Amino acid sequence: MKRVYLCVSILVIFALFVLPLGALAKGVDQEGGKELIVYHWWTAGGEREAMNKIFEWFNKKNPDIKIVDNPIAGGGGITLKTVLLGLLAAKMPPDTFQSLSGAELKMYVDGNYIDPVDDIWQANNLDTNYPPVIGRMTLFNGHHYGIPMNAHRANWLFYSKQLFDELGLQPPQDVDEMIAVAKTIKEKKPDVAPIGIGTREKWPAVFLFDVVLLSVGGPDAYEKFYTGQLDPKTDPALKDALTKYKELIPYLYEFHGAKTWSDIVGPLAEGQFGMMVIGDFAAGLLVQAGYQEGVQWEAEAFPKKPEEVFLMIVDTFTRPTGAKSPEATTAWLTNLTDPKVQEEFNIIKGSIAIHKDVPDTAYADSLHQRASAAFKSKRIVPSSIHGVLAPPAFLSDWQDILTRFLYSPDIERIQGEIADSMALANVAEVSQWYWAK
Amino acid sequence: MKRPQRLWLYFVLTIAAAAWLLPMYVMLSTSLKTPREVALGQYITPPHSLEINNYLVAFGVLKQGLLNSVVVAIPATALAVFLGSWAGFFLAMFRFRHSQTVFFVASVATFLPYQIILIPFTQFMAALNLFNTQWGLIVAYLLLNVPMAALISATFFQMLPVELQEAAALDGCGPVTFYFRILLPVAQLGLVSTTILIFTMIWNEFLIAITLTQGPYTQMATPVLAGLKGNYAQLWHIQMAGAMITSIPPLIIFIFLGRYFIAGLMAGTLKG
Amino acid sequence: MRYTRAHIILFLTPLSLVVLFMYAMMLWTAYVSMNNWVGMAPSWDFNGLANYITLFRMERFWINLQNNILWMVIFIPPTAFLGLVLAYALELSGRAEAIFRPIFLYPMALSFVVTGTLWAWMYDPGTGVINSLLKGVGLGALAQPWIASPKQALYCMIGAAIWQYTGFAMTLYLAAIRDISREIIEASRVDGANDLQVFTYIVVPNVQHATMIVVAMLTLFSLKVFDLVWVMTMGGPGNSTEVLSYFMFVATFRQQLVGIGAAISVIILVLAVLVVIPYASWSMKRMQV
Repeated sequence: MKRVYLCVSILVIFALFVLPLGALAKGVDQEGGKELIVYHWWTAGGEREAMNKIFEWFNKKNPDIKIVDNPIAGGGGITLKTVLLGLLAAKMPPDTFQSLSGAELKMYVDGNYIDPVDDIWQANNLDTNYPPVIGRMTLFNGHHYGIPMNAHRANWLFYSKQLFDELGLQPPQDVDEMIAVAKTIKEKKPDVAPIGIGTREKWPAVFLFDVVLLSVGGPDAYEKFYTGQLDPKTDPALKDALTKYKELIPYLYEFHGAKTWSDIVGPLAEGQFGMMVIGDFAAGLLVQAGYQEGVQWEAEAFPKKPEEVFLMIVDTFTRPTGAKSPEATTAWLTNLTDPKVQEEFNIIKGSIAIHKDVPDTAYADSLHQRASAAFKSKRIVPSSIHGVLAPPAFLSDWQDILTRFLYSPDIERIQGEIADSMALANVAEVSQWYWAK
Repeated sequence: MKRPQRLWLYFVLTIAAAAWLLPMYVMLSTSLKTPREVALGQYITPPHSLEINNYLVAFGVLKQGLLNSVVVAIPATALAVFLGSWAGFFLAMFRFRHSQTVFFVASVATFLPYQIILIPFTQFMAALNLFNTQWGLIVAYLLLNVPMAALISATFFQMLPVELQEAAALDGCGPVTFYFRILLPVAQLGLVSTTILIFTMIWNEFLIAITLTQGPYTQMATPVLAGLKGNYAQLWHIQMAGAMITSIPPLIIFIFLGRYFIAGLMAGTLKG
Repeated sequence: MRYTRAHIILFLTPLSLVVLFMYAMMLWTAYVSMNNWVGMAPSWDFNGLANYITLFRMERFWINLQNNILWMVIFIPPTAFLGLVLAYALELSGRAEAIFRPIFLYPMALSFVVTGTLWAWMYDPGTGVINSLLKGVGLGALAQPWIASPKQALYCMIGAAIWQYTGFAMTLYLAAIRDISREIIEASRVDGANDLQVFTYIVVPNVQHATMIVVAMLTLFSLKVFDLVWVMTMGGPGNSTEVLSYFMFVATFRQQLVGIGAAISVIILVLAVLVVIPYASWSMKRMQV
């Protein structure tokens, strides 16, 4: 009798112990009609509404496919990446997920997690409908691996209209003018920080550096730097850029380490900051908060000398290997290439369409009209950090190196740090894809 | 003997208490202010009118996270305390070969920072399809807290009178019966303290929560609170309301079950 | 009570499995740290100690390690000292203890995320509470950049941790003071000892074991601090407030340098073991398990 009791207890305890593990099967075999599981990071405000627009179009075209939406917050998809790490490693790929282009996309390619999308690329004539650099940012080992559908411009200089009018200032066109303007602001308005920046999330430090490098070395040096083709210790363009960057430091908002970029834009429109280098996504926030373009704030492309470029951030969607509903994936990606869809999506999202059939006049505000025109006429250069031109392992370090430099600007030291970090992340070798023909 | 008056003592204690309460006061009063009042920067003045709306906004953002925290913390705590006290009881009551080794090995595992197993843990969860699920969190917290629960409950069980065991032995009652019939009712202080401590720890935990889950459906309250920020400026009044809401369960426990909380805290250091 | 081998198996299997699992994971981490695993998928490319050498050559690693050490040096003594003083004051205060004790202890019930959110605002240079208070009482000149300054941010964060953990030290010390025999204290009072003398000559020498516990626990806390860093500064300004466990998270989950992340884990493990093993054996001796 006693022995039976003991045995039963043993069983009960073990049952309790494995109970949570027993629930593993949950969610693995979900039956039902055709589904499209989408992972993306557009969770809030206009981005969310823009995504809904795409869903609307997709449902109209594919009434029998149900969208299973998995929005995962976190700027630039930084948290989505962690989720995908788990899902993909566990061989539970969604039917499609969002990724930045370039080195970020390459990461999934290298992990054998996504399949080529050449068929969709060919069928929709993207080689002619998209600018060539877009093709280059999705092409690895001779195949396209992502379908881009929108572009942000990273090199805008936002400035306080009231302040610039009051002081009779013109928006600067290169870094030397920027320093001069900042100096004037500081002299005439000591309470105003000439250059607003928030480095609590560190990437805005890279945004600022990128335009300085473009201004000093031009787009060629820029591309070479981020793909490891320059020697960080000796290259003169890089050294000049670092020197100018250092000269900017006294004009930066002094408590930038405690703020994010989004904390800065409102006060900028109020005239508490002079200017700020940030992407066009800042316009959305400003408009949302009730500040008008041309009244409280204005934005100009930067730098305009020696050459104005379109510093580009691109979002793409992918075709994961082993996804459960391949037809749904194809339908989804095809939908994204539709200029009509891109137009409606991008107007709400605050970015611009990539398809050349979307006219500049589609956009309501001057900033996006100008962005769209520049996209068609200027040289397009991928933004380093969200572009993604350099390998993520380097970029993460690079943000830290640059923010540290803002506090102790030692050019020789930072050159060494860049060289070490580039060597560690193997930037030159990993970035070969960008130069492959 | 008449004690000296010690006015200085109350002076020091009052000043220190004011310093310790100030952050809480600021948090509470800010959570009830309008953004305009917050912008004026008069933090000491009480709010003019009670902006309950801040709480509604913060709750709207946090509610899924709070629900997830509840759904994860309760079963994980219950299972961890049961399995932990199951072993803790045996370790505290009986001496056998290697019982010291078991105890030592378990306490080392308890005290080591769990960061060091985060990478394999993530892989393990992914391999079991538990990544980004509430089940995954339950399993994770269960695994992390069983050794802790065993140690704490063993510390408490040790303090039980030996006569209890002797009486049980006379009645011919075995360990299993003893655990269910006698220990569970008698050792309530220990069990409640262990439960409270482990529940609070899981509720307040952040690293596992942020590593193993992402996104609005599975994330617990702490990561949601950490990400709670205004769209274009820091909305301190909303953040403070969110912080208040997230603190309510542990604070209620602290206020009403403080004795057990403290006892658990002490036992958690293996303070014999 | 009689027990058999079956009982040992029955009672100790769940715990043993969990503990074995944890040690297995540690070994796994150690093995990963010797592989060149970069990227999302596991890659088993054995490279010996290369990850450690890389780490040791990184300035960032040394900044982080130094910050962990600063945590120990700057966080532990004030917390322990304040805890002891408050415990003694409470002990002397008689019935008022019931009012004051929860006031010092309640922060222990809060999540670090709450503490971090709250103190990030206290320390905000622009609109934060501390600077506003200073300006309010006419001491605006003392306003500081606090967490916006790479020189001050770490100390600010430690300040928040002291606020949270003093009650913990106080409770341990209070228990220790209560364990001191009444007669010794009464005898010294009769001899005319004042409060300070009782504190110096009787209390301090007799609470050594509580000090052991406090120091061990706070050292472990200093080694694993993560939440406060994440919520208050994200490691910034620059890298000035980064600690090893933060670096480990960033290296592993952001940079996907998993091998490097595992190497940092192992270093944290080694540092923690130096505290945990002596502490565990010491407390087992005291408990006479």
